[in-house]
Amino acid sequence: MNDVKSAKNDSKNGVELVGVGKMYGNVHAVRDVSLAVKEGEFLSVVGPSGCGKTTMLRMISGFVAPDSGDVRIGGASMKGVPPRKRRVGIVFQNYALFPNMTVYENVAFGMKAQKWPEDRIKDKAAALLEMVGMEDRAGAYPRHLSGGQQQRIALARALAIEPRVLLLDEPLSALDAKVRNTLRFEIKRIQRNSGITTVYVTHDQEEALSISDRVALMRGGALEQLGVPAELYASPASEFAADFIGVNNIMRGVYQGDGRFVWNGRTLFVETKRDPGPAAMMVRPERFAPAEAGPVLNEPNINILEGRVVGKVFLGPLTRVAFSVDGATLLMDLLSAAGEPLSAGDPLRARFAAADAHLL
Amino acid sequence: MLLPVTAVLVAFLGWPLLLVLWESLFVGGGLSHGNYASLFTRSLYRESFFTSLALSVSTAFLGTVIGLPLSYAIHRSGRHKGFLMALTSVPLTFSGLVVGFAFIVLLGTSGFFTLLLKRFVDINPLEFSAFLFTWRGLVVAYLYFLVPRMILTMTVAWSNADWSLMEAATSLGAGGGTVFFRVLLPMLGPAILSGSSLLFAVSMGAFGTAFALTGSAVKILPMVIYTQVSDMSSDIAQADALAIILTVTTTLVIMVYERTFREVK
Repeated sequence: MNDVKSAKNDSKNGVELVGVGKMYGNVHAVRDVSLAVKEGEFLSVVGPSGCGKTTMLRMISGFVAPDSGDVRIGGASMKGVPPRKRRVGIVFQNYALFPNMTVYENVAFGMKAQKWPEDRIKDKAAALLEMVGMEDRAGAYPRHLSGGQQQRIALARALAIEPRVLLLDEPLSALDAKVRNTLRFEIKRIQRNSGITTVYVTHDQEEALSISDRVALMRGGALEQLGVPAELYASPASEFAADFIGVNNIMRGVYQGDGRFVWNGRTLFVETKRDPGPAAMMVRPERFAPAEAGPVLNEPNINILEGRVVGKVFLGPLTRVAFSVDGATLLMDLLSAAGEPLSAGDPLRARFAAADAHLL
Repeated sequence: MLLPVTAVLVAFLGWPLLLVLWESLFVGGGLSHGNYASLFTRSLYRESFFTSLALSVSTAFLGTVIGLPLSYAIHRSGRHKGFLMALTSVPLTFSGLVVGFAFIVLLGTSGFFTLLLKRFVDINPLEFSAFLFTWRGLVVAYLYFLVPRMILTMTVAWSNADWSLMEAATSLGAGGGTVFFRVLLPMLGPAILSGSSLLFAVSMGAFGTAFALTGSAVKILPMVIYTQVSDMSSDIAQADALAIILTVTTTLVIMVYERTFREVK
């Protein structure tokens, strides 16, 4: 019984973009994007500024009309449906709380506009304020609250109208690191509990990877890659994706076929199967490890590079070591150990498994 | 930082005001409140006081109502914005006298538009232009240099406006009226307040335009003060008292007005 129900829910789409496009002047802000967000799913849209992610969000909320294609919410086309009729909750980067209203009035605003009965508004507002941990500040004005507190209220206000979709437009980027981390997981918890379809726009790939069910990576108005966070991290579809998601070593060379890749005259082993030709090989810094001293004898599933340490950065749990091999600089992440012996100028042998090299 | 400001204020505002106040307290060489009491006893003063108030409240209100949509239109005019702003500032460079004469040349008894209208529609130029020389005519003439002031104040407010507030309200289901009265007006409130206060203050003190248009026919407080100073029967102490009354009234009205409407603490 339960299985049938969840299977049905899985097939239902909360938000659907069907070939949407938008031009500003002669610039494609969004070009032919098709994307389905499942009901209850948390989807992040990431990309550098100007990649069209905010325009996409505004097309869902209805403040921008697509030039082509269609936006559907709960299966219904939104063509001609004005923003106020879409039941879409929006959380803005700058909080956008009404400064002339108290916290309570802010949260109640949408319910009042939709003419809910007074006692229902009261109950709902109280429940929401408790959910975001702000029940004791109902009478305060926004200017008396910190940025993090204001964003909690903005979240409560957006959820008050029981929206069909929750849109968050870089909601954490104006906050300091500590608050950002706390609030990030709070948003996730609230989203999971309410089961609301969520589209989260951010330029912070780490944020996107840590809270999303799926991540959509955008570039130049088009969808570059769509997948679950681990998939985007492990097998980026392009050099752009590899570069944007996480830190990466990209080594350009020629794939010989037969699992052999030639880089700067060295033959390295990879597992990816593809046609021979020029290619880029990518290895995540944490996939490198120091190797024992000895002759450089690459085995088919282990690659060894000899080089020299050029510098290191202490990142807390990790230490990022930069080393150069034949003039190219590569990064290796090591767990920080007490009395880290590596320092600039030291010779270094780094190894990585053929399975950890990803060919683009 | 505070010291030079205080020094300038004392030298150019406090000290002259004190001198005027001191002079106004003498009637025939002796200390008296007579120059103030005459506001209530002499109908000329009383009437000019209320005419000035009526004129200033009307112009401040109309200037605000007209300036608000115009400022929005200019704010949204894209690449023409700079040109329109420059055009808006032009009336501010004219002295009040010039504005007054301009209105006579355009709308006076033998003014350009009056004669043009007479040619095409059968109007009596005298009746048509008579309006110009009443206090209601002054309202129209004053708006010429007050509306630009409102526009200049408001364009700053429009550029600083947070449009996401309007989007937030709309997405929550609010209609146009609710967005306008509950979100937009409170947001622009401070600018509207200071803009309309400015219009009120400027028109309380304006003099040149009225002088050119109506001579001393329309009794407004600045005109009465002028006649006290310039007439043969000059009474400087009386002029001083009226000037103090003008200053205090303007300040008080603006204070009460701002206190009343400034909800956002």
